[in-house]
Amino acid sequence: MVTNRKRERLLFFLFVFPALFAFIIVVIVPFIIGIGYSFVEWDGLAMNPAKFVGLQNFKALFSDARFGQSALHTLIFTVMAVLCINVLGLALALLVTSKLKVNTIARTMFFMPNLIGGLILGYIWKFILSDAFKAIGESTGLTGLFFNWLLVPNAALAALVVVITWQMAGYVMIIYITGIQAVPDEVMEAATIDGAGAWRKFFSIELPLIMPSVTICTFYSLSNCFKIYDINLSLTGGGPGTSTEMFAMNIFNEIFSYNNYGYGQAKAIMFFLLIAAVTITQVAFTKKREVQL
Amino acid sequence: MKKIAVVLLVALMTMPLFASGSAEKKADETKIIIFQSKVEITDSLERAAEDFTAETGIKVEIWETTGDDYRAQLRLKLAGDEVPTLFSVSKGAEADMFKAYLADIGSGAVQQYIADSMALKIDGKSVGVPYSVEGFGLVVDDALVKDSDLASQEAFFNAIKSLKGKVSNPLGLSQESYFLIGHLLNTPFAIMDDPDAFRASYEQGGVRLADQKEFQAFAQLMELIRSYCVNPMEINYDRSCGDFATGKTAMIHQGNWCYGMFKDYSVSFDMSLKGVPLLGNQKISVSVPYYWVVNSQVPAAQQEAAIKFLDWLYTSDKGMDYIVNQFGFVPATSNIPTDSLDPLSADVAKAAGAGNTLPWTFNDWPMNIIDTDFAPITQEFFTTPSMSGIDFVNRIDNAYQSRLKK
Repeated sequence: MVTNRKRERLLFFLFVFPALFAFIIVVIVPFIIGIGYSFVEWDGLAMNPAKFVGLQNFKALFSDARFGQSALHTLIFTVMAVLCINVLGLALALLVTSKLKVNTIARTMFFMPNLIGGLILGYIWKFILSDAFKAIGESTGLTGLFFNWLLVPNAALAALVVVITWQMAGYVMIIYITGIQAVPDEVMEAATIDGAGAWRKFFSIELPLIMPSVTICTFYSLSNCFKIYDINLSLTGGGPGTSTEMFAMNIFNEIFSYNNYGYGQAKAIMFFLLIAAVTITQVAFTKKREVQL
Repeated sequence: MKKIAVVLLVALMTMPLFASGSAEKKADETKIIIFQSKVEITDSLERAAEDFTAETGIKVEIWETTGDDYRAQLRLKLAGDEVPTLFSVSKGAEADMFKAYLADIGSGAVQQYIADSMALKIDGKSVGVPYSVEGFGLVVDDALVKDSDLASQEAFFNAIKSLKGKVSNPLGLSQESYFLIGHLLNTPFAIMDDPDAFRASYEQGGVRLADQKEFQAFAQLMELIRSYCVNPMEINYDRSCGDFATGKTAMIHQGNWCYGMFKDYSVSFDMSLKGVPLLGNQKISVSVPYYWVVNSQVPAAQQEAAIKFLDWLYTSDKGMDYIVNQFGFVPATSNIPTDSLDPLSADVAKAAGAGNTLPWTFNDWPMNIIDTDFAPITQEFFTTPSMSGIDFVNRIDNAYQSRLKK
């Protein structure tokens, strides 16, 4: 018996090892090296010497107005985007699990935007939100809604929310569908017999029972929105001005445009800590709301 | 069992090491890798490289990226396993930063044809070969803009106002950071009596840009563009050239490089390149955009091959034909004849020959400041009607000063 268990453990290890090895090489090791870089002042060229500055980089973070601005943009964007993605994703999931004739096609259609890469998506929407919107506005006179969104700071931020919602809602929809399908029919039938309406059934039965899906979906959308870069780059490029410059873009610019590798790295570490703190809090929070049958 | 496990583990862990060890090839010493960012010359450069390989047997590989991505890519490529042999930097802050990577290429035959003002020297050693000479200013449609419209600042400002009704856009800028602000902002810096002395005293601190008459004129021009011209943020480079070529725009602030686009439109009207008449200025801004440099970190044989390639390109008959006729460059070396230039390049060559030019001051500004600070501020200016031209100049001033402090 003992050898058997050992063999099992060995097999287990053998299967896990390749993934673990890759993870260590491409994530853990660079991460640790990165922490080291955050204590130096360096322009990124191997031939130019790096100067050790201790915690100077981290200190500078707190007086960096542009970094603070980008933190604010990221926060506003993330809150709005997570809400939109999950509300829309859940609504779509409810729609395609109801007795519709076009269920399969609808699912495919809603999921489709997720298959397009973020960069391309950004360029497509850039055309729609600037040139196309302007043209529609001029020909219909509805200039209140149809103007060049990318030239107005708040609208540009909203544009980012629209695009990421369009991209990710389909993905979280799939997760919600599995959650909804796992809700036992008997419970729902019993509720119907007891005279519960559609709203009541949804909020008192379905929603508590799909809380595990909610946990996963909010976690997924939260961490993705925090880290957004591709759509940010192709849709607004951080503009107009720096009004839509997100965390990731600010860090990229610090490193590759200002050539401050050490300082940029310090920002990245800060960024990591922030995402970790927020997502862990969120998971702990939504986990508490999950109920078991 | 435990032993087997340990052995297996060690074997597994070391496997990738062996794998990569045996797969590693010895670098081909007679191959040079060129990394460059001028998309206009991509195809011709490939053909030139083929011709060079046919003549000398030295293999050439060309890596490309676009101009705005070049600097970030270059740092990554220089840190990689396979590094470029021949790449490009611009003079000033950038060349200084890459100093450790620049090989002494003074032995190249092309060096004797490079005038002192065009050379890239660091610590007394020649480290670069100028790509070409480029000039920018106002590209004007001669039928719409008369010489008298550009004779003085006042005439120029009036021309912008009066052209508003005649064409859809009197003066076109475009959204790319250099075309939006970088090049235009060169004018007030460059029309100073002594640009270098001004920069030195400005960087010392205490001097405000908004107090200078050059920048006050510039501020007025920016306000005029905002009120009388199409918002440049809605126009990209392609559209700006296209609108000019089809007569919808009377002037664009561009350089001789955009003639390639006009050729595609088979433009038939006369055009010329003129100075931006701030305070009556009549000079265009002319300099060397990039220098070819050889990576000092590659084996000596590769460095030699790279020097050979540059000599071939800039001194052999075939190479010179590529430079002038295929790349459309205005040559920066004295040995290349310049009879067959397009009208805009001819204006550049004429101005350069007569020494009637403004310098490019932006190469001495803090690195990348156009992309990271000036462009966002300009975007804000064009989308915020309440920001005055002087406010705008002050914002530019503050951004410049805060970069100096770091």
